[in-house]
Amino acid sequence: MVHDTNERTHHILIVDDEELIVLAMRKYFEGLGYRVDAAHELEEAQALLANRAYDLVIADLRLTGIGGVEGLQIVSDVHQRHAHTRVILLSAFGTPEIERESYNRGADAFLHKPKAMMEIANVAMNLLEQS
Amino acid sequence: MTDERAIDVLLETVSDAVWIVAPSLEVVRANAPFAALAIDMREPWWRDLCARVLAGRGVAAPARIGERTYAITANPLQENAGAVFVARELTETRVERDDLLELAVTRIFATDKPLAATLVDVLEFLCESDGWDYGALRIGSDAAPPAAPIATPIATPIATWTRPDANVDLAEAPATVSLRAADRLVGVLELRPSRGGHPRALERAGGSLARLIERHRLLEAIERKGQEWSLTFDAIELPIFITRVDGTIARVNRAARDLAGAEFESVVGRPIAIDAREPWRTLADVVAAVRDSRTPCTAQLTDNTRTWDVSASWFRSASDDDERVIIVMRDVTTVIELQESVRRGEQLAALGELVAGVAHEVRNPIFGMGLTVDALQSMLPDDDDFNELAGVLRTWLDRLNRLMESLLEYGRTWTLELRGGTLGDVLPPVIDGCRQIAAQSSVAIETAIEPDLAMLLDPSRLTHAFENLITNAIQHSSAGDRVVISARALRDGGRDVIECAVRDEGPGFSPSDLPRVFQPFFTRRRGGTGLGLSIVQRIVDEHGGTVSAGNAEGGGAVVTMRFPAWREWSTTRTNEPTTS
Amino acid sequence: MSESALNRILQPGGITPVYQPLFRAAGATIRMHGLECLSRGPRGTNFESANVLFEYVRLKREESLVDRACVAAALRGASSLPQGLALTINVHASTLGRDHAFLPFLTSTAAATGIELSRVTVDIVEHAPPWDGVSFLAAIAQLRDLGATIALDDVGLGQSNFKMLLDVKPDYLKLDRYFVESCAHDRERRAVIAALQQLAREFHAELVAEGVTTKEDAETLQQLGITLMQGFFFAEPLTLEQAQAFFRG
Repeated sequence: MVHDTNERTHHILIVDDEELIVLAMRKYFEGLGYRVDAAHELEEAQALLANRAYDLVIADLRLTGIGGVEGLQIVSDVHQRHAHTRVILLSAFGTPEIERESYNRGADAFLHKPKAMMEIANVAMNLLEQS
Repeated sequence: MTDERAIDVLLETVSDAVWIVAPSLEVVRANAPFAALAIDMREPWWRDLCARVLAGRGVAAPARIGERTYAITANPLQENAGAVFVARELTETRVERDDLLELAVTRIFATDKPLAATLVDVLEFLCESDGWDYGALRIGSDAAPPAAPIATPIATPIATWTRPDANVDLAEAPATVSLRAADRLVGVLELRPSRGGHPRALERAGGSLARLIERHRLLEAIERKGQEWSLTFDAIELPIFITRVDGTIARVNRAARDLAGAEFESVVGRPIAIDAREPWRTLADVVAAVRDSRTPCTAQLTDNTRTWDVSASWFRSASDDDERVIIVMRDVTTVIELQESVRRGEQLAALGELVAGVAHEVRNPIFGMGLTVDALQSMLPDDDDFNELAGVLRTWLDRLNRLMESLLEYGRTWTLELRGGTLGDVLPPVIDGCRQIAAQSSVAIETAIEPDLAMLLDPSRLTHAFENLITNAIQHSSAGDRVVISARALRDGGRDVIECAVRDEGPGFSPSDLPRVFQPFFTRRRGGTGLGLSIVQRIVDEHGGTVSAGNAEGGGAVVTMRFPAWREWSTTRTNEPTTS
Repeated sequence: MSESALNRILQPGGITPVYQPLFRAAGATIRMHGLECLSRGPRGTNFESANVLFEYVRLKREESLVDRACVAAALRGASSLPQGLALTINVHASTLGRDHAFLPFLTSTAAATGIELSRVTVDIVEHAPPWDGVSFLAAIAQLRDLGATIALDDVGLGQSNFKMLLDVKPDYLKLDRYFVESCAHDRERRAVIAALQQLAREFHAELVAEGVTTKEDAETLQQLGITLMQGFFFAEPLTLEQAQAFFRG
């Protein structure tokens, strides 16, 4: 279905410090026909973003130990570099304040973990169709 | 010692922080331990507490101030004069020091005879022993002072008396004695010597009178000025009895009156052994023991519902030089409850933190597992065996997930937003929400909820507690059973409380489980998290209430909660003008 | 990810050197002049792309550690290649400015791999303020004392500046591919190149064109007086094995 509606292959960047979560998401989205890059830390994601414009970034809010909110930085970076890149933040602990802040910085969606892959994919596809 | 000083000394003798708050919330009087407390008056709990007390309700609640935990007892003063607060550190017991307070109180209040009566008593004694004619005494404050009194003051700073002219023959004309206190004429005494009267007797009588007047003025001032202190005394939650050595009750405070279940008049003058039951029987023994040994005595006694620590001391009354026994009772049931509640609260806080931390950490792996199953399924969409097993895996994940959510719920630190409201506002929506689940199990929900049950509540938290209880009851019911939710107002131990019960007709609690049903993770239900009742207990705790579990008489489980009623709310409600 | 990406990069074998041949074109004669040592990050990671690798390294502020790893890998590999070739190594300005042990490291690595520093051109990348300070200039002077030559990277792009040119007085100016690409069909680009060529001459420096991908561009550059060139038109970067095979054959 996705293959039919996309005239070109969308390029997605997945950012999560959990390599195994990245693995599952990468396989899933590749299975849907997307090109997928992945980063495991903030700077790696930033380096990739400096090098290429992605259509969509799916990032975990927390990329380091307790209390990190690196995902917010990614949202800012994306919007500084590529206005058309969509961003989905995932969080296992996000407070309403952080959620608000991420939308202020330009996130397109803020999803609370756990979420089924289908739900994430639906949000992702909707965003990509809009763009 | 002046009156002001007496009250200050009294306040400063106490190790507990004592302070009086005006209706404006301003602290109008306080002792040194209060200053050391360093309460932040802007804190919500403090404002809550003030609101509750000034609304006319006595409150005993634990409070965490800085690093320490205190039992705060707060009682309204009469006539909307404000409220008195006593904060006692829960970590230490300070019985001896408390006794000092109570003794000091007694010494002031035991001497309460009116001036005239005292004068008559004393003069009668003097006249008898020294030969003055008692019948000739006239006491009054309306008599004109003598034109030119001969001033021969006897050393006394406050009241003086003027001795009659030495040349005047007292036998011929009665002597007029002016009694002055400071610059005020407080009375004129006419004295006529009886036969064989001792020449020095008049002088002695005058000196004694002057001292008596001084003391009376002191007491009067204390009583007048100390009207607030008298209210404070009454506001002290501890029952205090002062008895004569024969066990006759001489004086009581309000708490003691409440305990005796009688009006002031009917208690004073009766023997402390009001009836043959506890605590009165043991109290009579305590009085006897103190009288015989003239040393302080402590005891613990119980009437099966309450337990008191009793301390009794002997002293000599300053007013009539008679012996007295003062008995101070401390209801330790409350203290023990408070201590347990604090301990439980601290345990919960620590456990909650741990649990929330773990739950967070576990969320990610659960999320990862879910994603992996999703990814696998997306790759093998047509493999039925695989899909069936993936479904099983997902069921387990869902269960883990629910557990995590409960744990987070349980561990979360809430900022409680208490406000006045009625159970009638909170309960119906919850019950309506549960009817669907009940209908699925063919369980009927019945309610018996009194109107206008006003209390301080956080609607969302309380809703959560009731949801847990009602769904729990439904889950333990069989088809055709009823779940009954009842709520009523009642008076318990001098307090207005709201009792709310959720009862089912299921198998009930096994008696051996009863002590543990509120413990986290205790469950007999397959797939249950064992956190439902723990969360309920936590919420009830937050509302200053208690919760207990038991079995109903006709079978089935019943969980009963008791909350403090909130008077101001119900008053404003019922006092709404009905006519214009 | 249990180990950080930086650790994987710095592990032995984390950096793979590749060698980009540099040619001198004199009329119709094109001879190999030397090799520019480039680096690839760990295989199978995002850091295989040098751009991503160095952007990441700069964000992590670990330029010096990674520069050392790259230089070590490059020189170790180059030791098995013919002695006569000039070698260009890339070093961050911040490494020269901050890492006071970098020059001793370079000297000892060169000695250990048998490479004369006179063969080595140090190509300074990211030479933006504040890395143009005293210790940086001291390092440049020392490099010259050791016999190395100096190149300034990305001349004409945002990060280059004339003050740097004056301070460093480089031997080579690297002309970025941005100006080189399709210069044959772009008068403005040629104007920029001509200006830079003029500037280089005044400084007694030589312009090196990077990213030459077509014959026309190569000829245009030659007409503008540029003889040192590299890019896919001449040769792709060689792995060490390819380079060894090339020089054996």
